[in-house]
Amino acid sequence: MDWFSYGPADLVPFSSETWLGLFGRYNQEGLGWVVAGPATVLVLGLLVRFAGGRTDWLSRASPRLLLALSGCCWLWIAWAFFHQAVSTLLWAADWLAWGFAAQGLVLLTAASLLPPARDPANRWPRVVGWGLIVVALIGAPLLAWSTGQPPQGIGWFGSGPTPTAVGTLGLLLVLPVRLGWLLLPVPLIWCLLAGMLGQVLHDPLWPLPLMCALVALLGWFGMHTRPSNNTNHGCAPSGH
Amino acid sequence: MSRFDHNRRRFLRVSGGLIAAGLAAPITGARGDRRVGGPLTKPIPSSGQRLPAIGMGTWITFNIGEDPDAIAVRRQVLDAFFAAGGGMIDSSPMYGSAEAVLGRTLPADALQRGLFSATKVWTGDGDAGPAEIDASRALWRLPRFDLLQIHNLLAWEAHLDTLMDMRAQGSLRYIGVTTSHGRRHRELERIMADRPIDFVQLTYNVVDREAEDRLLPLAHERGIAVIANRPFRRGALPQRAAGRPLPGWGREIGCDTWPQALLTFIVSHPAVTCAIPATSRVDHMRENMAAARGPLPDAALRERIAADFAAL
Ligand SMILES: NC(=O)c1ccc[n+]([C@@H]2O[C@H](COP(=O)([O-])OP(=O)(O)OC[C@H]3O[C@@H](n4cnc5c(N)ncnc54)[C@H](OP(=O)(O)O)[C@@H]3O)[C@@H](O)[C@H]2O)c1
Repeated sequence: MDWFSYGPADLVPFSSETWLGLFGRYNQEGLGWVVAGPATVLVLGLLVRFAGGRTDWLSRASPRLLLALSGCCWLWIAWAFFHQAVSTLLWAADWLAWGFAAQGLVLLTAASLLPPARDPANRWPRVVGWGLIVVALIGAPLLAWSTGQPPQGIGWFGSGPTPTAVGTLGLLLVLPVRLGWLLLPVPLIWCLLAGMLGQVLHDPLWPLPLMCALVALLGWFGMHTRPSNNTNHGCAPSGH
Repeated sequence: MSRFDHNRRRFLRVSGGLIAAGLAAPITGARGDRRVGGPLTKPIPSSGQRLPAIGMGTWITFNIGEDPDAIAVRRQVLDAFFAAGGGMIDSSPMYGSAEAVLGRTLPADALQRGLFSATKVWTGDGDAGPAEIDASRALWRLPRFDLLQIHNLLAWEAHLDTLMDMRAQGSLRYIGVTTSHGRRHRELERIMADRPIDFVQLTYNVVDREAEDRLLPLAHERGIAVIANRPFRRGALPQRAAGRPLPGWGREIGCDTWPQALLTFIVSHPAVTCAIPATSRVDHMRENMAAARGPLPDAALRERIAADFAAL
């Protein structure tokens, strides 16, 4: 097929009303909210332990638990959102489900791999990571609500693909992670697709996932680039 | 069967159809006809069967999944369609839940009310075609389709064999091939010239007129019915005309609104059999079905419609 002659609008076979309606039914009847609530609370709790820098078991295990938790969220979204809900509207939904499931499995694998990587040479990417986490957990839903989206149609971290992808990108910048290069592409690709989907559906927030992806990518390269003065600031082994 | 046999059979079918319809003269063969106050109908050249010139598409508008409120509205849209004398409905397995929604919303007496069912085969694997067609039939809840089209020429050679077998066995009435957005016109032209198809579906509207150069004359010459898709360019054309009054010529062709004039423009081309606007709204369906009820514009007026629209 001559795929290159197709634009994004040719590949989105539903209207924004249908998409928001589907989200609403998924949130209410498909357990989307039931998953998002505990996922958000758990992530917040674990992030507090992680940032606290204490040495108790839970604080030390928090990076692994955060990765494992987000891995479970990706698996849930693959099955409940893409395979169960979206596949009625979109023939490509099962491909997306496979992508999300693969990301979930790699996150679970990364969670089981220790010792963690050392802290990055540059600290600013961490700040970017925290920013992305805030956007994913609170910023994006609030912005969606402020643009008049019905509350039941709003996606949340843990059950909505875009906040989960943005939040995961944030976690990858904040946590000591193995397999980082493997974990980056799927959330980035989803942010790209989400931006295109939003534009086709006339969502005023369509640039947000694209901007998050760009910022995350910059943060990632920043994290893996050593400062030129080579003083090794902030290069202490991870104590978390 | 040799290509010569195909062509001879085709010539007999086409000429027989046209004669049966009393329309053997060149251009008038594709001219419309109507009962008093009824919708414009045009003949399918290969059989002479008449088809209402305004049909309905289902891309996006019928892909609504399980939404109960939206399903109730689509039922009303279909009721308005049949009440106004509509017939041809076009869908595809590519359109998500559209075929399933059609199965749930078509009136129980749709066949008696003139349903002309048209869907597509859309798989790159020729062997998977029959199973996909069966699945579509089950979704539409119909015993058979009137027209099966090869969607966007995908694996067209393999599917054409399947569809020709089905037509020969009587489980299908018509075969078609589709394209859109002006894609692959050269290849479509070759198929139209060489293969015994009954329909082509292509993009044709007041601004996308490339088909006028070669495909529409070829369809006319070969006795192939033409379905015009994207008659409103996915809604962009009515949007451009929104709030603009229709010039005086609207009265001459029995149109009150720009969308009606846009549809009338399309079906007034002698080679076009029907246009298939998609809508999710009952008022739009009624408006669309009221198009092409007056005298059709001649060539000069068609040019004026296009020029006036371009000037909006
Ligand atoms: N390759 C292929 O085989 C192919 C490709 C493209 C299309 N198609 C077929 O062609 C059909 C038509 O094309 P399309 O759906 O792309 O676009 P279209 O029919 O040109 O436009 C549909 C849009 O027009 C709006 N509309 C309909 N009636 C209107 C009216 N009276 N006033 C104002 N707006 C109106 C609809 O909005 P509302 O819902 O608000 O009325 C809808 O958004 C498709 O549904 C499909 O069946 C086939």
